[in-house]
Amino acid sequence: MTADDNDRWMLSYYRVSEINGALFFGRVARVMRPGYLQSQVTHHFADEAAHASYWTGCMEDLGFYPEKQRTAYQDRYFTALGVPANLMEVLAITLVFEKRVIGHYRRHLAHPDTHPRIRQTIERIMFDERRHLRYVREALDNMGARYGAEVVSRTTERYEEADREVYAAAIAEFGERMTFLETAADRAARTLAGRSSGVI
Amino acid sequence: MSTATVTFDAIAEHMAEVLQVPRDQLKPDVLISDLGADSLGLVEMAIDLQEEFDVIITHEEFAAIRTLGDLESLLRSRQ
Repeated sequence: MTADDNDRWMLSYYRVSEINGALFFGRVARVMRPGYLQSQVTHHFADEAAHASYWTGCMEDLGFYPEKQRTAYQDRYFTALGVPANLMEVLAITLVFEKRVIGHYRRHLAHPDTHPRIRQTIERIMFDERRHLRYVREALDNMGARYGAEVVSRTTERYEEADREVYAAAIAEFGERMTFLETAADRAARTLAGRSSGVI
Repeated sequence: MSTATVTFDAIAEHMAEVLQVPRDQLKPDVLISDLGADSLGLVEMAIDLQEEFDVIITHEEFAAIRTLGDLESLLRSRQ
């Protein structure tokens, strides 16, 4: 089993997503008040940086180097919705993104032609992603008292809706690089996104 | 951690540090969009000020702010 150009592009895309995630959580962690949540967000920042390193090592083991990419999947959220303006919004967007990442990696693992070295890296990263999901869910539950449970719920729903559109648009834009992971539901969403954006 | 009182000087000190702009350039009539902050800089600035002054600003409120004076007024109204 060999890696090809598509693997190089896809793994580089995963890598830049982890790098941009680390930069994001690092910026948030350095201005947060001390306490449990600061500790978790700092750990999250370190995990994202480690994941970028895992992907770099994975690509090297497969015999190639990462492509230079700047823009990550989650950057599209800012374009679609603007930047999150408070800690609750940061965690709501993180919850939605972590769920997307886990779902996407699961799909990649389910693909029969996934290289064993790629599979190993995804499994290692998913272990951390599940922990991220747990602390973020717990923090959002606790934030209901300060921000209002209804506000937290509405904010999360708003980001989930945006994520569905962003994911469909990404699949439409990246075409054959990602369609090997596509489901029937994605194809339907992509068709709708294409109609509304004029892509298809 | 004690909560600081909102003043223009305190806001400007934080913004100068986070956005790496000279403190003496930060006046109430300066547009935030003229400070050259990228998305991550804006997130860090917003979180930093809310953590410092123990207030909440929503995405919609933050997006509506134009000048540093607007930002000061909003933060004061929340404290």
